[in-house]
Amino acid sequence: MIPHVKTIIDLAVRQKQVAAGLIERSHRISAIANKAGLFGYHNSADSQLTTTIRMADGSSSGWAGQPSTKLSEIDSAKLAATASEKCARWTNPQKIEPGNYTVVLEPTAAADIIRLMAGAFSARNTEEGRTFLSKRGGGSLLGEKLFPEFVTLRSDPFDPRQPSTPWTADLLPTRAITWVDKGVIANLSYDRYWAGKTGKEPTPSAGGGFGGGGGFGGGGAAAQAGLIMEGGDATLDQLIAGVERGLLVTHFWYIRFVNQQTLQHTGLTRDGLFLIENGKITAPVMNFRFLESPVRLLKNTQRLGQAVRVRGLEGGMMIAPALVATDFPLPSISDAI
Amino acid sequence: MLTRDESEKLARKVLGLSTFPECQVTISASEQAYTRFANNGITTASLNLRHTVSVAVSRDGKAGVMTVNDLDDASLKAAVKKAEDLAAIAPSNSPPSTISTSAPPPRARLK
Repeated sequence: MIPHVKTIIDLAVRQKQVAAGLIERSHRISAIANKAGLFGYHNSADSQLTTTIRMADGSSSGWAGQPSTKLSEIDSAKLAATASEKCARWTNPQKIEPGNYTVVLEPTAAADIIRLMAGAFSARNTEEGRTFLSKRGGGSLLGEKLFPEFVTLRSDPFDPRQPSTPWTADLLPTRAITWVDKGVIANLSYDRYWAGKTGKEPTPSAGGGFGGGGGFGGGGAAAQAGLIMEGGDATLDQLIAGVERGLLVTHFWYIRFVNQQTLQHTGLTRDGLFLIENGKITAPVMNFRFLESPVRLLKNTQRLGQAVRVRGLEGGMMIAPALVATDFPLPSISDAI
Repeated sequence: MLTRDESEKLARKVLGLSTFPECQVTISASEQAYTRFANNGITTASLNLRHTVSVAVSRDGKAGVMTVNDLDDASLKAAVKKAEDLAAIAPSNSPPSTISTSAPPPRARLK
């Protein structure tokens, strides 16, 4: 891990910048057994590197990060170059008018918003009227097409890019489940209790259910494990090239709930926000506060890039694509760096 | 790091210590290493080795949980007793808020 750190610091020093960050590797086992004869054992490894590179006077900041189940696949030279270049390009950001913009969200930024949907697929919460999938007057939007054709969201505990625990918090063997299939709400997350109560089969997805379950010894913490949003073929440059006027977002910071039902959240853009004009990055832009829900974002999504595993805010992992979405609300400027 | 066989042996030992009809053992172990850096220098280098055994027991809708990180026989025995003592003084979670801890159905049944 020290050579990775050296690669980053050496580049920062050469560029007269200042680097900070974290590289981590972990090996975990978990086992579960009960008097009814159940036994499960799971062995896993993971690693990640994140770095923030700033100008020595603190006037500009760039970020890059990568998780991988194999430490040998962490590309510190590429991460250093990305963070350093973002920092260099973001000097003297322009103040532009707040408003609704077309945005290109890099995979980490997209994941930071999309992950916020996780809890809403709980069948119990939905059928009790508490999620965006609840229908007015009762029932759910299961089977209805809410999103564009190219939006598919699923969890797969056995995806080799991010394997997760093969049993749920309520002790069922996990399986791959599609939540949104080509824009259509395909499944809700039934834990054993709610499935029994409503006469449905449980939907035991990755590591504790997709927003369902929990309660059994705190297994709810892994509720978002194994989440995948399918991507497209476009590279980030191709996505940028297709935008007449918009903003490129590196990632977000300090995301908090505004409305539990609509999933509207607020937070800040951070570590690299750039104006796109006629398909080209033309200027660094001062950060904004956003006010958006993953539901509205995916409804407004026009195009997807290639999906990669990312390490989002507060350690949240998922496989997500870069995306282009219209009408993204950025209602006020933040002068934070 | 505990192997599958070692984990199973440990779990069975703990289950055997419980006098309650329902008992669940959760074992976690990890090795985590990290290096933090700031101001163009390393600030923290860390290696953590951790393990915990958590015992959850229930009887007549009354549940107790205890977690230990000493794996010797006396500590495991004390942990199971503590979980059972806590269950004895806990209020009852009467149905329908409880579900049984029976073994899961075979995977083939899940479509």
